[in-house]
Amino acid sequence: MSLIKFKYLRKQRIAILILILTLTSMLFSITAYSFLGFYNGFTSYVGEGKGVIAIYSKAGSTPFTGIVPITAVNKIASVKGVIATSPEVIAPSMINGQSVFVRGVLPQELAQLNQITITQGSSLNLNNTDSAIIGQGAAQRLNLKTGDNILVISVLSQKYVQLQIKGIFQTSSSLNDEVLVPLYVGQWLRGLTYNEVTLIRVKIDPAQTNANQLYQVIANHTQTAKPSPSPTPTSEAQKELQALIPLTSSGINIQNIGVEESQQFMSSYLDRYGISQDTLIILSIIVLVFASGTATCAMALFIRQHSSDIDILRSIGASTKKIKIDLSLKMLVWALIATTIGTVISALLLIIFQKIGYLQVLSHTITFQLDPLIIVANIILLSLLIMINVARAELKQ
Amino acid sequence: MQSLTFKMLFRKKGTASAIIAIALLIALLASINSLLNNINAETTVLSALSSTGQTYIITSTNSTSLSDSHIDANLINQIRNNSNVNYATSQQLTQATLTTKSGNYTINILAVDNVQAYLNNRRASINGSISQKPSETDVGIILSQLASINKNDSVQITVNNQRAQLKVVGITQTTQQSDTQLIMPLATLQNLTQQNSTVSFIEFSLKNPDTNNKSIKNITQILPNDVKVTKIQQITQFAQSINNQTTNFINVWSIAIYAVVIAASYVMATRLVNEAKYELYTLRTLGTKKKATISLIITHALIIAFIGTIIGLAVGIVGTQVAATGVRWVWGNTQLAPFLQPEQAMQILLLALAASLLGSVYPAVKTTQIMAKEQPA
Repeated sequence: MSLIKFKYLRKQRIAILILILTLTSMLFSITAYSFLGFYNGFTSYVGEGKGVIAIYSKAGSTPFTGIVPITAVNKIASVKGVIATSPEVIAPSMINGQSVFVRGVLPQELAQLNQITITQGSSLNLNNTDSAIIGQGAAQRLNLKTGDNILVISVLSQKYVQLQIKGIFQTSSSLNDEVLVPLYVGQWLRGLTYNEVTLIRVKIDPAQTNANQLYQVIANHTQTAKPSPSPTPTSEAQKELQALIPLTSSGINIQNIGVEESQQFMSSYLDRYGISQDTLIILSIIVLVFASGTATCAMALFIRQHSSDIDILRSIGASTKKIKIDLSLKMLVWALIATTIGTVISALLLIIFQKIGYLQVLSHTITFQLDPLIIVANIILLSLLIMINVARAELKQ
Repeated sequence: MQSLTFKMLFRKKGTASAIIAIALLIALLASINSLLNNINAETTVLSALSSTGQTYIITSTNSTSLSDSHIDANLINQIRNNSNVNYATSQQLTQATLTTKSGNYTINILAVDNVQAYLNNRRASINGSISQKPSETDVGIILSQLASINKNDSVQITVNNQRAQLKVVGITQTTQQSDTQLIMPLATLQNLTQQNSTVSFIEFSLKNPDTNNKSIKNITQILPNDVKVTKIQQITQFAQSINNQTTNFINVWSIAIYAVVIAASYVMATRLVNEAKYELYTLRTLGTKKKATISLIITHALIIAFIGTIIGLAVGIVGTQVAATGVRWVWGNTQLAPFLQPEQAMQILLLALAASLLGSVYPAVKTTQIMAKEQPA
């Protein structure tokens, strides 16, 4: 006798159990998606994929505080396979009493690494000495619009600048939460000389070159290069920069320079604090385990509420094993429904809180991206919980 | 009679598991908040340790930028007369059209009452001399390159349709915004605009960094209400802003936890009603009113939530501290010392009780309604 089609469980109680499983699933999803959103956002901070290389200072305790000589740009710009080199200065700053990251860039070079769409106003040029463009996320958070004058106060140096918002841009990267300024404005705010930058991002053709080769090029130049009054610019943007600011050739201490794929470079900072994708997933699973007490109570209650129905089934010959298998199968389907609803609700909640600016870490919005691994983990964990609880359930009178 | 029933309710099988379910959820909240407190405290301590300098600017209260600020030009005398002040200059920031042999440019003029003090304070390198006469100006190095201006060139500036011909006496480099500006004596700009009652802002620095807070308090007291003092290099404010963002993030996450606490209380109250039907019916038969039965079920849920929360707080804090000690032993990270503020513990307790109340009301009311229907009149 199969019990699958036998409707001995009450719909209202099923709905309540599904609701509780949904809440448990939602807690796991919110934890996992927000933690991984932070991790993915942080690791893709300087670029995603194998095509973007970061040249950085190993001495910097954070990705925002390293110092790299700008001369390294010219050493690698002519390497075959290098598509674009973007020297950048990241300056933690305050605008209208709120924290924000200001990034000094060569706009033309940056455009080759990040697709930036101007939604209001106009784009930024290196010659726009007192202008900035601002990401949509940052503009919304700081309540700024095109034409506004802003006072930017530095965090790492005793400097301040007044800038006018020239445009608002949209991008899928973390730049959406930042303010972009000409490279030299970033250098003022970060307290660097015109010969220094925070990092250099390089877009390469992975088929032609790689991080190791670029490191070797810089190392070779360091050993052979003779001091010259100024480095030779290679790209148009660098020539433009050279025409504006007085660059001098400075030595490179190769031991302090790191060249890595961008995501590897950023994840290495998190690794120092024991944060990795795996540890965050484990943390999310621990959260689910802690929340499983409620689901366990709910399942025990559900079985108890149906004890009289189960007794009838037993009295007409259904074995305990059969009833347990039937309960498990039915609950597994409910777990699937709960996971789906839980994932949808958590996604909606995260998107709503993201829109109203509550999901910010280090002044960058936590990005939400559906991850099949989390959905599968959610289903497996709930299924395990169900099977353990049904197996432990005492169905005898 | 009711107290006896109450004792009997607590002896039911599901009580322990209900307490554990709530305790585990609260332990999560307590541990995450403890870790967050530790991170925030470390950030604040580190930011306070950093050298933050002692430069400030005075602008008008309602301004959000330097150019829209207008403050009394005589205020500079009060600032300079203050014994704690090391350096002070009043400055006017104005947009102008610059005409050179290479073309017209929209630029910012920075007019300073003491150009020499201003450039010295910024450790400027100067190719030429410092402008002192009304017909002289210095040019920032980036602007000089952009507009192809050389030392001893003659340039024309236009402000509000008023023109002036100036001689460039020096090219300056400060690695600050003045590198993109025309720097001239304040009197030169005031002559051109015929306005000398207000300036954009005053920049000043203090003599003794150790007494910064006291000195700023003294200065603020003598200033009129329509001006504000802003510190340059805002490390502490930045750290606080970042900490607030993390706290907001954890608060959002906590909502999900409290939602599960509501569910746990619902399950707990429903289970209680299910398991204690006999006791509750006995009470009803003996004349206990509907409201008293409801309050009995809700009170039971609240007490379980209270015990669960206390246990959860203890487990969360102790567990995190034990884990932190383990981490310190293994990795030697001595900065990991999680803690929970008493007011945070109180907040968690109150929110857990509120969530429990919310979760237990429906089963309590519904049960008494069913009992009332089943009970003969």
